[in-house]
Amino acid sequence: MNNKENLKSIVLWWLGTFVALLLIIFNTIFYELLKHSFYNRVYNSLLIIANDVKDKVVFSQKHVLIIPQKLSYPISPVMIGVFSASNMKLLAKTVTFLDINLYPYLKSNENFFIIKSKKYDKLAIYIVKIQSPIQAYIVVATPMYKIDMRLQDILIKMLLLNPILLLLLLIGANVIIDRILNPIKEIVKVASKVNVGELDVTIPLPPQKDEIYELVLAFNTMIARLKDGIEMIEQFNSDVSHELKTPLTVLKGELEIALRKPRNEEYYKKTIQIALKEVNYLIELVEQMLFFTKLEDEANKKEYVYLDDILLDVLDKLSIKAQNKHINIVKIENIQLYINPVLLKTIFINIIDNAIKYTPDGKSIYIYLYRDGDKVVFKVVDEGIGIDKEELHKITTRFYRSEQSRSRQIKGFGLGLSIVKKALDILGADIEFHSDKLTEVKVLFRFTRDKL
Amino acid sequence: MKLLIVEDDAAIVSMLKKGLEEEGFVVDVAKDAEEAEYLLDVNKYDIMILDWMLPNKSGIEFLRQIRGKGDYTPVLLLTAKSSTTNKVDGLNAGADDYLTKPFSFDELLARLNAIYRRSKLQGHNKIIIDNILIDLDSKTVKKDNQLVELTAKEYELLEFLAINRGHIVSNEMIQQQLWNNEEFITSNVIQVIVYRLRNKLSKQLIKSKRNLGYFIE
Repeated sequence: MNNKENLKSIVLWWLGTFVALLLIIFNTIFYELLKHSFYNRVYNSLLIIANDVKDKVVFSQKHVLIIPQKLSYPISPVMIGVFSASNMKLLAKTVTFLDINLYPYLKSNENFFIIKSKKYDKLAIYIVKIQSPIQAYIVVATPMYKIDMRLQDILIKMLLLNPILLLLLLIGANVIIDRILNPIKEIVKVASKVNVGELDVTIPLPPQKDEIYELVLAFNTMIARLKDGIEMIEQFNSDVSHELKTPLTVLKGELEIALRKPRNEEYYKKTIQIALKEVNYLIELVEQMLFFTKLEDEANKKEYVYLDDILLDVLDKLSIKAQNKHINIVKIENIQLYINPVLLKTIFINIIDNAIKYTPDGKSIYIYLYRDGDKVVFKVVDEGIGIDKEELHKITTRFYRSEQSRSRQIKGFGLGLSIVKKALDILGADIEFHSDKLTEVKVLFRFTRDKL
Repeated sequence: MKLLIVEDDAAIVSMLKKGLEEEGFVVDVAKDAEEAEYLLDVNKYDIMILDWMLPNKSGIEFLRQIRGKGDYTPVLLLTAKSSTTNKVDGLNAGADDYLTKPFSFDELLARLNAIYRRSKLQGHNKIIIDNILIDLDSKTVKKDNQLVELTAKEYELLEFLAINRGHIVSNEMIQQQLWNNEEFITSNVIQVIVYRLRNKLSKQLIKSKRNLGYFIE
């Protein structure tokens, strides 16, 4: 919950800061441009007035310089003064013209200035030189207070409006973020409900196929996969506990019965033998289960091995078990592969051991190892009890034992072929089962020549 | 008490048979539902101990099937399945009791006795005939409050006759009840047991009906 709130405030904080900075920059530029444009207007007006006055300055009959007093100008008030070019003395002026020291400005090459004045605070002046009727400077001035007031007015409005704008933006953003986050809130609500026992939940898909839709879809498939996984684990647990409970039942029962009454030595000995047998069975079961989990670690340990060497080695080890059965090596080729030897050995041992287990005494097992195109084929055919067609697809399931093998009281956990399947998956090899009169197990190792 | 054990694991069967026979039970064994069905057809059992996970047909399927046919042999379901759902399913399919593996042998005995009491004696665990008291739980017999030593077969026959009090029990019924499917008895064994019981308890207790069998009035 806290993190989600944080996400929203982080977004709002960054958005707010960014927009505020943007507004400051934009408004500063805008204000400066506005000011420039206003001053430009003043400059243009003064230029026009100055040029207008320039033509209208004349000497009166009394040899007095006359400037037009009441001209209509685009700006007001306008003050005009004429200074002698030789001694900088004021020759004529309009009534409102101020007595300011203009000497430095008159000497300058520039002709437009903004100067300070006591009465008007700020004055814009424009200076133009005339040659007739005498050599003089005409100074046209206008106070800036009107423009400055307007600029100040605009500035105040900007300072007032901008925070409101920012606030409105943040409120809007808040609403939008909430809208975006709402489906996420829904996901969080469902996700927090998801538990091992409660995997039947799904989040309703939003109408638009946007990122949220994809998130919901991914989330729903994740729940579905979790459910499958947990069901598999539950099945496995139930299988394991069943496999563990059977020997434990025998152990507990035998020991309790032995303790119920005084017994002779022979009875105790027999009970201990039974108990030991069950304990060994339990040990073997636990070891096979551990081995199952260890298979994964082997995946990356590859080396160049001769398959025929490993196969012969395995057959040698299994020969004691196969004493009363005939093992025929029909075809064995010299084949080298870049493969994990432990997994390979596991596959060979389990498939051959299975064939030995389910083949009655006196019957035969046939073994093949050969190249077929770009594949290596390892094939075991036996004259054993076979597998029903309907059961073929189930035999690599952990703890699965065919009805045939159960009813014939053949000891086993049903882990062998599932270990093989897992090892084959890791190696990327295929397995095929055929059961007709003979049972055939065919393993196909793919290999590419460049690896050799 | 005659039991039928339906269980596919040889080690469990061997343990159960040994322990129960030692306690005076008569035990028949079936490896699967098919065999059990046959034995139920030819014999009468006081209780069937049924495993859930059987080859071919599961114990629960088999239970539903025999209940559907009107066979009400009391059933104790003995299984590794221990979840509540499993227990509910098992009892709803028609089991009278449910015991999970691994179990305590004493508990199994107690439950078997309880099922027996419920099905035969409406829950009582003692039968009193005149001055004779039969305790079904401890499998002991007292005459005038004095403990009478009986062999297992003697006790079984007395209990069988007492439970069926007022009804004639034939030689065949006794043979089926007291011996398992694989045992064959010589013709006068039952006669000998009856003779011994009469001597130990009372001449008048067990009456004979020529060519028909025995009964307790």
